Amino acid sequence: MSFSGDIALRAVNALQPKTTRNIPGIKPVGFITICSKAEPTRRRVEAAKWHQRSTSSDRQKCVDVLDQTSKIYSFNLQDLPHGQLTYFLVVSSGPFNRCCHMQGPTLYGVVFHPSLEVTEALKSRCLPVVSPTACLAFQGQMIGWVWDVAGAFGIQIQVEEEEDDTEDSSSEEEEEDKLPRRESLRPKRKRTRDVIKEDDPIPEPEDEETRKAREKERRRRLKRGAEEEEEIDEEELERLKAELDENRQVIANVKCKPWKMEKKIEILNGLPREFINHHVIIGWELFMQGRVGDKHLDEPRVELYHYTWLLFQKWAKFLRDFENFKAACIPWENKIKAIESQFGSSVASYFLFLRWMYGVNMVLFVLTFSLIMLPEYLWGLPYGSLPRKTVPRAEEASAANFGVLYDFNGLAQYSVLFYGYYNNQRTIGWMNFRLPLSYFLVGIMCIGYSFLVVLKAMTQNIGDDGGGDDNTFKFSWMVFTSWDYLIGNPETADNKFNSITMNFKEAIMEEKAAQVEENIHLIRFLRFLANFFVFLTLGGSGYLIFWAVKRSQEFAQQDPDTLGWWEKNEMNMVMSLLGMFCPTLFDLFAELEDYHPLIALKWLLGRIFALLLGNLYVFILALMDEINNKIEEEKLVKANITLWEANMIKAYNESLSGNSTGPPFFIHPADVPRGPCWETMVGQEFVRLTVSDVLTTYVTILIGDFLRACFVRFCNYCWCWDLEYGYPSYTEFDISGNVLALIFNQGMIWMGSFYAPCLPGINILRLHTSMYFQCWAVMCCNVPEARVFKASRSNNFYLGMLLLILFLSTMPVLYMIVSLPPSFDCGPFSGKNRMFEVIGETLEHDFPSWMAKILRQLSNPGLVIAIILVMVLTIYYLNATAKGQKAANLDLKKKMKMQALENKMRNKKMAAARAGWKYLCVCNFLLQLACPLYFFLINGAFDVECLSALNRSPTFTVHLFSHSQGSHLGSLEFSSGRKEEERTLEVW
Amino acid sequence: MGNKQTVFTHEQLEAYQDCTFFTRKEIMRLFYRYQDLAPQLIPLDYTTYPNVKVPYELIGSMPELKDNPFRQRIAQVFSEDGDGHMTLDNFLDMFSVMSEMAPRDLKAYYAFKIYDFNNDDYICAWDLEQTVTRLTRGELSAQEVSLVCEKVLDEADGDHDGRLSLEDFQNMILRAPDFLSTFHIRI
Repeated sequence: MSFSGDIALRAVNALQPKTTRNIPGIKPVGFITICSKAEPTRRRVEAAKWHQRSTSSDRQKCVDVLDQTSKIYSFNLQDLPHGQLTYFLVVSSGPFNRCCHMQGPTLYGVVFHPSLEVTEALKSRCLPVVSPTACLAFQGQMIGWVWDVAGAFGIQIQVEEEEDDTEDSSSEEEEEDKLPRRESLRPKRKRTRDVIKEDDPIPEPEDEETRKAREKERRRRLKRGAEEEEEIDEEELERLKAELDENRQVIANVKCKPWKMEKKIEILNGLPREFINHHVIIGWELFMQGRVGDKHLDEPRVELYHYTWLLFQKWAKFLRDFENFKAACIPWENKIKAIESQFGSSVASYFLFLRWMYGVNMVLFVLTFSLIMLPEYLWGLPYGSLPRKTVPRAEEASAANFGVLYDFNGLAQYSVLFYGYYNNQRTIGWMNFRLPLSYFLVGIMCIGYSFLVVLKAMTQNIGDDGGGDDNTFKFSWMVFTSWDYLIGNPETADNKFNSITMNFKEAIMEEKAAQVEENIHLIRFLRFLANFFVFLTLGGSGYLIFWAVKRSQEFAQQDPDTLGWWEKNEMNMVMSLLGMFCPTLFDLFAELEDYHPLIALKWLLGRIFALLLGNLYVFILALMDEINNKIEEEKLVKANITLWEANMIKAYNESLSGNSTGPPFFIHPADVPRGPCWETMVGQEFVRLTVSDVLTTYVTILIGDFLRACFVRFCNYCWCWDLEYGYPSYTEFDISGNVLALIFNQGMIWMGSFYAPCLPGINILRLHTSMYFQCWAVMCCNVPEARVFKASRSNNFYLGMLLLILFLSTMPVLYMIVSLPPSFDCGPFSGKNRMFEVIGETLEHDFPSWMAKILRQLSNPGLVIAIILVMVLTIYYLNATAKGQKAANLDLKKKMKMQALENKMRNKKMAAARAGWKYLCVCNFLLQLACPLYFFLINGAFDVECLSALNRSPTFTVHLFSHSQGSHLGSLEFSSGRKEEERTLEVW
Repeated sequence: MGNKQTVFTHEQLEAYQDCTFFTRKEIMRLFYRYQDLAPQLIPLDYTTYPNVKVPYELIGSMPELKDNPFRQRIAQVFSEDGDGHMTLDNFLDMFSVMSEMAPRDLKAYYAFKIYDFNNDDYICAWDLEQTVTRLTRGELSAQEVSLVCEKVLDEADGDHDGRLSLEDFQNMILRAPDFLSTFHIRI
């Protein structure tokens, strides 16, 4: 744990101020670190480091790091100030290793300067407590002693009046030998005028007496020079802390340094880690004591710190292992890498996005599965115990058919997968699990978590973004950032080279001449036309969906057996087909517009987004219609049920009257009439939509990509034209379309998962399969894009859309939760007026009344309105500051630009000035020779400004030079100050 | 797992983890990639710090680098003597800098070194010409290339000394939106 540098530090701390004070003529110069070559490198470097660091303090001037050659140490003493007694602290972790529990014993000695004669008197001034282990010699002359103090040290310096001081050591062995000596010294100590050294770097078990003595001494010292000491120590501590911080920083930052590995490792090794540990301990100790003046540590406390520190280290190790583990858990790293190298970063960005979505959905799935589905399955009433948990008699026969299950009817409908299956029992199982509450909270939590994650990802992306969007560095960026280092495929590289060349050419063209807009009216007309078509398409698709939903409702009224496959799946198919064909149409319209491809892509994305959004909302509106119908229906059923019950009871009583020992009143749950349960219906719709969406996607990939690729590949042998480079060719990977599909799918998950807890699970499956399937499809049937787009910008664009979708999809859910009454006979909230009442119920029953009261008060409208107001104000304020900062930013940018321009101007002027001044000198000289009159005139032209400018800065020179050139004949009228200036000029 | 222990000592692995942005597993993977480049040359025991280098021809043929127009520069910048031959340490350094985790500043520093073809600590017009020619495989005319270089110098040269210093370069590159996503090699 301990280390020589540390001890040296303590030694210096303890010795210097006091010795300086106390021994006249002895001026501390510094200490010498002695390391033998045999020492492990790390330790040596540590010592050297320590040594260097201490140079920073001007009190301590290091001389050299020495190599120990023999018992006699040689070192360079030339730097020492002459004529005075000097002492060094010699620290070594070398051969004097005698101590038991410390690895770095310390040597320390007094060294006299060679110019001093070491007289007996002098020697007697510096008498070691223990006999010196070695002598220090210089040029054959003994100049000092070195003695082993094994971790601690002691020095006894006899001052004129024979007053001495004493110190102890730390090693237990030495403790033994020294104790008698110390005891003999103790009486003297009372006369001691001063204490030279009173410190103990490593606490050791002490005997009672020593402790007492030390305590006494400390008190004395405190009385005497507390302030001074404290100051010093505080300073010292500050330094230590700074050092410590620095070391930590170095460790954390070494990987961010542009150094070669060797240097990094050397630096790391050079950092005394134990040293840090030790100082952390000291720092803590001081902190705990609440004062910094005293560095005395006692054993148990150090032990405690030591163990805490060990714990800390273990924790750090655990963190690192955890990081390793986390990195190992990230799936599909290799797949994505393969795609990246084949297609560049843009296609890979889709797969990265997919993986990210997978992570998000994983969390949603874990939430819904572990907190809703599993408890209900384990602890809830089993299947068949309640009407809501039983397939009705009419459907029983077909309940397990594949067709029915595939539609999520029959058994699937009456299972944990859907809302309707859950019972409204307040607590279930032996743990009293509050299922309805959990259901509600998980629903809210899923939404909240999604918001958090999306926002976090967005802010992260913003942080990564360089923030440059202006054209200041257009060419530079093109030169330095256009190559995608991820590319590792010759074909992609070819494409990339081509696109870069194209970009350069375009940019050069643009630079050479602003693009000539020929026939702007035609372009405007075409763009208008395109937008008109797009609008028509959007409206048409919306109407189509509305119509399909209406029709499907009609079909739903009919007997399912009379319907064909198409009639059953019409709506899903219509939505999928629209999603498939409309983007192609938009692509066609975009041809009309003739935008730059990047802008065209943005437009296309926006349009597809609008289409999907419109479709989704039409779908939701139709669904709302349906829900209202169901709610009406429910009222009817409710009335009928009471009638039915009365009838049943009447019939039962009648049967009883005939036969007095009849079976108890029992109706099989399958026979009980039930309400339509609109929640399950909504859930089913979303699940069906998701599944059909998945299937359409896969079928599209299979037909559109795989079959086409097969056709192109194999029919190319026997075709009239080159299929691979001609018309059908291979498909490119449609990043934007795929990302949008993913986003919308996610929107459906968010909307539907409240009514179908299985949805996140289904989505996980979907994402998992599509990772493999799409990876395969991309690698085997797609070609790299001819125009490679950069992915950086789009990332946040996608996330922004995701956020929008999240917002839009939570709206209907929240609306349904807040304003629609739940079904009366199915789901965890049955029997309540509104779903959120489950919260109030929990408050009422499970919280102490005072808490419920407080919470109730919190939900009081006055408070809520106030909070909303405050929030609005905060948003307004933040918005305003953000705007202000943006403006300031812009301003700064402008200023910077101005400054750059100014700099440029100034540089040019300066250059011209240099040339101009030379020219002027030559002219002047010539004129002087040729014509004194001209000389005079020209001098006249050198007006006040000129000279003062010459004295001030050369920048003005040229300006004035040109001015004087222009008016050198007419400038005679300068009268004031001319003489003076002339004189100066002559002097010049 | 047992294999790992014989390649590096625990301390070595820890030091490598401190010095790079890689986890233990990734370091091992990189080592095996490195070893695979020249199996007969590289020992499977690195505990004794063997001083061997893999020649540039093998480094440049890695699939991650072989299509990169700047591969030679990359190898030269990260190699010990600027000749492109790399020790394991250099190799790890290179991929650490090019990894996703490396900070902008570090990447910018090395990007500067890579684009500084003549190693004079400035990107001068000649360096720029080299860069542009490599990027376009020489498909631009000399006039166009010089125009581009002129433009770049005009945009990014803050102190107007006719060449880009490291500060100029950093100032420019750190604001580029695509720099982080493209200056990156996944291994």
